[in-house]
Amino acid sequence: MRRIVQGVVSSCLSGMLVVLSLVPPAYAGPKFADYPQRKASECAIKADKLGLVVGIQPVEDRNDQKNYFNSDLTKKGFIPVYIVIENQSGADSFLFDKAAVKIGVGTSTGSGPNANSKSVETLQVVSALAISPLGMIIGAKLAKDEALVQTNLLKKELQSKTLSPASSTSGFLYLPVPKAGPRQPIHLMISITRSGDDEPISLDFKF
Amino acid sequence: MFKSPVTALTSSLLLATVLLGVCITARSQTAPPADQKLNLIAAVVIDPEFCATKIKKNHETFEVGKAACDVFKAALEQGFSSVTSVATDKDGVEAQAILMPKFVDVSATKTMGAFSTRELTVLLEWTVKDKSGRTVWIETVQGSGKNHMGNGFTYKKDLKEIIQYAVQDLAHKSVIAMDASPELRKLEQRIASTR
Repeated sequence: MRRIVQGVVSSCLSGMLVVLSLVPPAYAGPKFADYPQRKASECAIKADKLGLVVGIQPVEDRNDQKNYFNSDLTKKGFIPVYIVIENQSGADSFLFDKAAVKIGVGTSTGSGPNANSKSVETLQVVSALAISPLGMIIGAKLAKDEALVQTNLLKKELQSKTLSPASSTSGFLYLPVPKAGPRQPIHLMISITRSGDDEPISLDFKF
Repeated sequence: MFKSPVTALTSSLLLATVLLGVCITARSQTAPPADQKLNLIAAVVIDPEFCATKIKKNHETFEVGKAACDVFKAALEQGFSSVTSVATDKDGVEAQAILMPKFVDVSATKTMGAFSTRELTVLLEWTVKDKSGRTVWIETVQGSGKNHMGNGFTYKKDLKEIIQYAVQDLAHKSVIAMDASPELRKLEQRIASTR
């Protein structure tokens, strides 16, 4: 009788161990809300050229940043900017190369182009390494949650893509801004090449 | 049912092993059917620099280049009628499509326990040029792999495995993306019409 009881108890305990090993832990790290997909026409800033429509929506609200990225990116010196590119052409394909995106942090005086002006805007190439906060949000002490934040930032980042007719792409660019105080206007230049052409089409945005 | 607690424990552990084996199923490696293959002579640019790509992130080094060089050519053969490996794009003189891969970034989650599952995400950008050197297709593909975090004894082995899983996923998704690309199908048609 005793051996039967022992057998049953052992079986139950082993079974529980098996079940527990298959159940994921209750605490699974921070949750990241998906940024709602929006059309270019629904964005705050938009421009179009030759059937190509680009919409831009900066995410300045820190609560939104917490919600979608689980991080106050402005405090870390970045602003997430949602970009959607739509190819509304019926026949042409367009090549969006992220390496061709340029950014200039505005020092423009608003007095128009002036070759003698000392406040000439300088455009620097936006590269993932140059501007991405992926490596910068991580300090010397790497927390488990911060690695998840980093992965989420990477997955939501806008990447190079071919836009076939009637297709679109979207994602975030993380642009540098001052950590404190009012930010200067950002000048973003997006260049996209029509497949088969050599000359890129440029769309300029200031916000 | 069980003659002794030892038998019961052994049986339960065996059951657990089998269940875990079922849960960690092998990744599907289904290749596109032969009729979906791109009828193009392709050359993939795999240079020593690409193969030596190591991305350091959060005190970890991910040797993604070595893992990619081991599997890319074989994977791409599932998507094209012919694939050769070349060191530079200039070497692909016979090729109708030059495939150029470039790693974009990696990111890995961290876990507290050695047996907890972590995820590695690898981004790779493909640029495909035609014979004239004009870019016809550009795409960023995301591969991911999952494995145990590992402990002091198994960390290196587990890290190598998670990189392999992510790169295999990357290669598989790259072939799918290429075969589904209207631009590469257009290139295929253009070349077929000139034959």
